[in-house]
Amino acid sequence: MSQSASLEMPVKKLWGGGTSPFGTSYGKLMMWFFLISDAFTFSSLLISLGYARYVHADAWPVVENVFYHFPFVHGHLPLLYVGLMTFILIISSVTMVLAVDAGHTNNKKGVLFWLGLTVIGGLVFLSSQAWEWYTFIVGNPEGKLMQIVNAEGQTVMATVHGANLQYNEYGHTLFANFFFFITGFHGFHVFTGVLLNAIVWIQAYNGVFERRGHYEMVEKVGLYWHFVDLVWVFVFTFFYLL
Amino acid sequence: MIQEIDQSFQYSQPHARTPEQSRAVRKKILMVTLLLSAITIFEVAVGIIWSKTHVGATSGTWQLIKYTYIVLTLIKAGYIVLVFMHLGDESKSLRTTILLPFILIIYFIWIMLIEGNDIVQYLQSVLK
Repeated sequence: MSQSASLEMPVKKLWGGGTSPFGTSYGKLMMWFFLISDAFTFSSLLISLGYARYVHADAWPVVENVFYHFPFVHGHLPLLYVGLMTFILIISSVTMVLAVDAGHTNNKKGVLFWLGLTVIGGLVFLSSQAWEWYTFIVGNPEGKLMQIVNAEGQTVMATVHGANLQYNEYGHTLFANFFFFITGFHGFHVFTGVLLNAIVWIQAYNGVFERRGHYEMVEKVGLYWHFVDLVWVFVFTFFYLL
Repeated sequence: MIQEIDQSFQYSQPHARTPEQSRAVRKKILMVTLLLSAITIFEVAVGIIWSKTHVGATSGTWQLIKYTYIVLTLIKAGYIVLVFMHLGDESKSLRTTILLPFILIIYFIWIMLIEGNDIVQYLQSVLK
């Protein structure tokens, strides 16, 4: 990477135009600013989650007793599936780094190969999340007998299966709400990232960046994709591990 | 008359690299990949062996595990931001501009802890 050449320039040249602020490109700078604002949104969500957990500590479920399913395997397997999802996202982040790296040396074949793998990794992650949501919403066959407010507004005892926004079999209502909102918002980001990566892949395939002379667009979507991975690292810790 | 201005400084340009430089870059990426994977595997293994149900949510062991998790998460985040997002290679002023606002997040956590404590006390006094 280019060490900020602008810093060594004489002051007159630095302020006389003809250089980019911070020695980085305009597009990358704007992507960083967007990511800061997005990081604040996710931080707010995770801090509110911590707040709700703390206030409703007695009604909050132990997360490993909620997410212990694994596709095609029966039994109590906590953390393994979500650990696998984390791993998938980290690996797709690595392939993105390699795509950006290939772009630095104008290597079109490398960009197409690694960016293609990144798109596939993102799709695998999204389908894993769909399965996680499905398992969470359907719930256990035995369900849980609990007090709920029915459609007529009466409080009745009923067997609850799985989760929705009003009540869930696992614990406090907010638990399911935060699960849907945080992983849903993150999943929406992953979906957007896959879309952006796919568009850039098609552009690279059509030789747009070759004609342009640089692969900066790969760097920009790369920043976004790494941010998505970064957010998942925090969601993994603060939702699943703690 | 308008002069044609070289606009190339506005974009990050490709640069030729020696095979040694390419190898160094790849080695760094590989090392960070292994580290991130190792931390994730370690976290999952700890979560399975010393699970919250087994050690008890209020026990000292769980407190230790909890803070270990948070430290490991911050280490992972640091490697992703500094190496994968190349923030470590940017100028110092840009790094400061991006990282400094997150002081506000620490402040946010602090005021929400105070707020949470107040609400818990209030709920207890109401229920009495």
